[in-house]
Amino acid sequence: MRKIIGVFLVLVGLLQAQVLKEVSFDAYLQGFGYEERSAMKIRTPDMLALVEEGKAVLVDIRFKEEYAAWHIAGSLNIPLNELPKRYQELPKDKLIVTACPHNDRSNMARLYLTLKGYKAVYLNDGLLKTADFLRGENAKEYMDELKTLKEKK
Amino acid sequence: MDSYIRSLDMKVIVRDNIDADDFIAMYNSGEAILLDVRYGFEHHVWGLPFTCNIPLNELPDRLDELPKDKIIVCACPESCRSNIAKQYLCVKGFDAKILSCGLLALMSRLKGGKAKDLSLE
Repeated sequence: MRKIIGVFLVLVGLLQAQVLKEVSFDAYLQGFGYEERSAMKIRTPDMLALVEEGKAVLVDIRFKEEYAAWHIAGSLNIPLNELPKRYQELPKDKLIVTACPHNDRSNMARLYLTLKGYKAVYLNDGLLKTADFLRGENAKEYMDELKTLKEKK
Repeated sequence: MDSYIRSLDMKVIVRDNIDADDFIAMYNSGEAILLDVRYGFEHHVWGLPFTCNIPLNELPDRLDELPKDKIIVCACPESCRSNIAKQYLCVKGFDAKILSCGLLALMSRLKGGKAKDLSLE
């Protein structure tokens, strides 16, 4: 009986571990329409709202020296060139928001993750705009929400 | 305060406004520190970890945390609060300057390979 339960648990575990379906670059481009054009990006206020709700992860894809100089609290740092080695650290059940100071590198990172099967968008207005947005009251609200999110976990 | 204001000729004003490149050079040579005068929660959300954070309204009570032998470069996102902090520190006898480009422009300057221009141990 114990064995059967064990096998059952393993099966349930396997079902729950989401398998991401990779997309070929060709297929992605062939399916690229107006909808994807706007769905592939997100702006700072929407991104922050999703991060605060725990539905999205902000991934800062700048080099580690850049991240060391400054970064947004609550973000993950995976440099663009380390993404192929480390993308599996990212949660499969959340929206991945790739970000850099503007949006050139984040766009590349998003494409890579999308082809790997992740649901990913890039931060259209860039991290500098996010920093600019997170002043005074906005900064306070974001920190409070991050704290609440951490306590829930 | 009066004598300080009188001392502010054009040369002093220009000299006391520091841009990102000036600051990086001064920081690397060890002659200056960066003082972030935003509120604590703002500094936690995003901040440059090597800065000293004393919110503007706590400055009068925390002056002893600042080095007397270094240039204090005051900074906020642009230059509204840092300007006030600089005036205050100068009146208190510190050698203070304003990061006139603001923290956001300094952050923009530290992009890509240029992040290495700043020597952080």
